[in-house]
Amino acid sequence: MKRPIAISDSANFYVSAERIFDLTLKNVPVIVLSNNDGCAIARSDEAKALGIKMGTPLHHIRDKVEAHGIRVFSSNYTLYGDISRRVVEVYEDFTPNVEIYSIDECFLDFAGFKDRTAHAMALRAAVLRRVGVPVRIGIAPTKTLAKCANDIAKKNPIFAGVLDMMDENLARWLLPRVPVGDIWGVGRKTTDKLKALGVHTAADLRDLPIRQARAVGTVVLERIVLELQGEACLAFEDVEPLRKGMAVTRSAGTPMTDCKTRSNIGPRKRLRFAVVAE
Amino acid sequence: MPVYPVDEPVHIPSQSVRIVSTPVSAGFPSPAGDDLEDEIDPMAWVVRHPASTFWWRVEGDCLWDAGIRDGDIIAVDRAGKRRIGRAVLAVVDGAVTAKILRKRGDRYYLAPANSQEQFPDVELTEDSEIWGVIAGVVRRYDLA
Repeated sequence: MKRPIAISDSANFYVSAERIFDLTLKNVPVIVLSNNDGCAIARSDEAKALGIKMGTPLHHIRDKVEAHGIRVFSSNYTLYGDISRRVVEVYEDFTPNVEIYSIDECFLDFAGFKDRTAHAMALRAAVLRRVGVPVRIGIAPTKTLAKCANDIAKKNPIFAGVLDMMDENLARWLLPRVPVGDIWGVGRKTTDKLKALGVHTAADLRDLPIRQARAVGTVVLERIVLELQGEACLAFEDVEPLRKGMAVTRSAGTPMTDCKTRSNIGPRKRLRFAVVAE
Repeated sequence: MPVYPVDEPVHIPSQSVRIVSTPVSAGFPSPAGDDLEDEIDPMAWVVRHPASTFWWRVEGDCLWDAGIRDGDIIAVDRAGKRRIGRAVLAVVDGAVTAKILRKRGDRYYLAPANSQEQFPDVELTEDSEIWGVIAGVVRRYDLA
């Protein structure tokens, strides 16, 4: 049998971390801002439901914040790092191998566990009880499929936060329902190229001939296709740190309509309006 | 009594301290005091589950009889068993408070432990929550 890999991630991690200590944040819209309080970088489900998109500048949503009583937080990375470390510590009680992928995502070696769903449910309950943040877990024979399972579990409450996609029939049923752009590593440009070729779902991509995949998106896409077929190409602890795209941004917090507003912003901040694109 | 999260996560470098086997009695030091027997890491002694133990600062004296005073820093373990009679951190109407967990009949209460002052009991309802169990307390005294 293929080796099961699980990926666990926290729901709206920064918001969940803030909620540990402030119980009044339960069931209300909460956002956490980027450095310098510029943009919303974490949103509770309630805030997402209000239409606040990832990265929205705070000054664009002032009216919403006011109207709905959205609770707004500056980011506290010391806290998030501490909570992340604690979550990993709980993972380590449930698997011999943990690969930290980002502040809120870890790959977990699930080989050897008989009832993987029950094990994942127990892990989920333990993280919630011991640290206080909710996590979702996807299990599959490859990292790409595990990410996909995690994403499905995230979007469909029926799975109660855990989806074991080791069963091939289940994967065969689910993949046609996943848009190709939701697959880990398939960016917007690749999505457009694939759509032009009639590849719209994860199942379409899985069935794309390998050579064609390589022609469209180099060895990277070829690997994704193989991973979707259930062939592990990304070994445990073999992934380079995520390239989500990086930006250094500064915004003033208030619209800059005249010179006075502009000069009220300190020189250090003003100098750092540059955006670094990757 | 209100409790506040300690702003920065408390990271204590684990440090063993040699302890003298004789209990400290407030009297003449035992001549056998040289006989150092054991080593103890005071933080590890309090913090049994590092992943689930958080530090909070206490304000007020409602758990005085339980040895917890205004200004103390308490270790609260979310994984601790919620037993009757234990000092717990609870959340009532969004406010965090440290109390003793009590049961009368079928009902659970959060009770103070201070014979000097009267604080009211709070009934534990669906809207309140036990956040964790108090695992230990750290206090320091003036040296100046």
